[in-house]
Amino acid sequence: MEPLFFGQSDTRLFGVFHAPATAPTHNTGVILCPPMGQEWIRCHRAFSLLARQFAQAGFPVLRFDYSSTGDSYGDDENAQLSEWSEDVLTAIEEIQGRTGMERICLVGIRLGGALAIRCSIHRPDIDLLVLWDPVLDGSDYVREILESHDEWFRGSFAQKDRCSDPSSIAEVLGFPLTQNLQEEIEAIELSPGGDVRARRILICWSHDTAHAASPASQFRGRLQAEEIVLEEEIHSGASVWRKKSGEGLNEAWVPRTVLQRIVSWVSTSTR
Amino acid sequence: MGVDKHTLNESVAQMGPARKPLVAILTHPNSDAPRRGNAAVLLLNAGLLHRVGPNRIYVKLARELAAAGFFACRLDFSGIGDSPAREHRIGFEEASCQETLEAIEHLQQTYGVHRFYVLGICSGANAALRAAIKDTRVRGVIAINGVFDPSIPEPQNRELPSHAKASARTRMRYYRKRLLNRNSLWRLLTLKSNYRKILETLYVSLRSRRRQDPSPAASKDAMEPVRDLLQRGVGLLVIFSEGSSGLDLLEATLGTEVDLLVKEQPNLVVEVLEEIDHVFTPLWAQKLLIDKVAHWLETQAGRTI
Repeated sequence: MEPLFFGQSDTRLFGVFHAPATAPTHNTGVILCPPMGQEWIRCHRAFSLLARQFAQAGFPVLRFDYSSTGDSYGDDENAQLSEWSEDVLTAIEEIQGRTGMERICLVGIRLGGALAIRCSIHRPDIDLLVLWDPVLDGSDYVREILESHDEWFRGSFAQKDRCSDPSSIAEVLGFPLTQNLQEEIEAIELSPGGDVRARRILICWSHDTAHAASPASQFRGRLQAEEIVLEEEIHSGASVWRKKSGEGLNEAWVPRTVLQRIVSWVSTSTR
Repeated sequence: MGVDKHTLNESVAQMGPARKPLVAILTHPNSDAPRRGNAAVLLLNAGLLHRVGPNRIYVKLARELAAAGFFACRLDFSGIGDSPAREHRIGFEEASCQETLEAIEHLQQTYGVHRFYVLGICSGANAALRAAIKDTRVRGVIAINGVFDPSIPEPQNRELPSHAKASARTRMRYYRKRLLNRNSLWRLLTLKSNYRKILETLYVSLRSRRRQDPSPAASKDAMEPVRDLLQRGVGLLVIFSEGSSGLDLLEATLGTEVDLLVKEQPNLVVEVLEEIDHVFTPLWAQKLLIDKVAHWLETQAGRTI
């Protein structure tokens, strides 16, 4: 396991490269695309374990932080979705440069799923996509996270804001949500699904309501029209990014069966 | 608050044994920042959260401190974040203390740092204090929302009566505060509150009243190492947010002793920050914390001990 900074010298991204534990036989590198904000904080342990499991299965893996998140350069307020898309492409260049792998599998959770889909358009080297509760409708997602922010404060000592300045930045559970970022996210609308070049896609849903929702149905329909092999599974309760009732800082939730399933699916798909 | 990315200098450090290193991110002091006599600030894991800290607060703090001339080290203990797990025969409390000292040793040997300040939130606060008690190179401690209970060896266990009692006290404080709030009172009267949670809190609160708090003698003994630390001249900034049950635990177990120490020792500062939760969720609260810590460290850097 190698923690490193990569990318351009003045816009360096932080990542962790996991070399395969055995001689690679898949010609596929794996990139993990995290969610944003509080969801990312809560996924970190699961992502770390997933990367290790992929490496044990013989895949080189790069997990990383988008710009203005985690240990990467940039302040929270400067986060931009367009830059995050570029960051995924930078991560692909990094892993291909290190390993020579021609094919790429992107694994994206939540907003990371939306970014994975976006990056796979027009890129034939992105062979496989694993999407875990992907954001398919940006407006729905923004509404959801703003509601969860308000809900959280209802049971907390914390005062939501102490600033009456209307131009102050909105925030979601500890992270700023600038107007620019909000607009970029709200513009996500992946139901057309066209031009995705991945050969196979696995979608893991943590509850059947998302699976049955309209954006998912439209996305599914379009992928099927493009003759992309699509598999979907429901893993109830596997929403590792959501705070569980009574949870403390000394608890981390890792849905091992979902992680094992993802690795197994990618292994099978690359044979 | 942001640091110019063009002057930001961060590097990865892997400390200790090659097979099981401790992973850290070092933020080097900006070249045009005031000199701080080769001082470093270590930021220790808050619970199981990795080295970026709750809400990425450690990243923001480290970069702010680097702009002020400090070396900042955000460290993952073994088994947390990107540091591989180690096989310890000792508990987490002792292991985290040892690993903090390992990081201090590494920074001294590699970068010539000789003054250290250690900061932690929650369990990190405990680790910070333990490290300072053990190592005279530590000149200051910032303990935020620590969980201090002298009556048991492993205070991280939330099932213990002392923690349940503290949590119940925190909830009771919350409900008393909210009763004064019109919106909350309306929710209570119109069936919109979480009645199950309220009843659970009342039950735990009543049941835990039977638990004996530590005797004054036990509390005094527990504070002896802290008293020695302060008499050594080490600065100690203890911060509690109003929403932290660590505050209730401290008041129940060590409150009297802490009050005495605050009066006796000018290098001990205890602050309670109102309307803030355990992990400083609102952005204004994060800014407040960062400003307080940065200001305190700057005054500490000017002290000679």
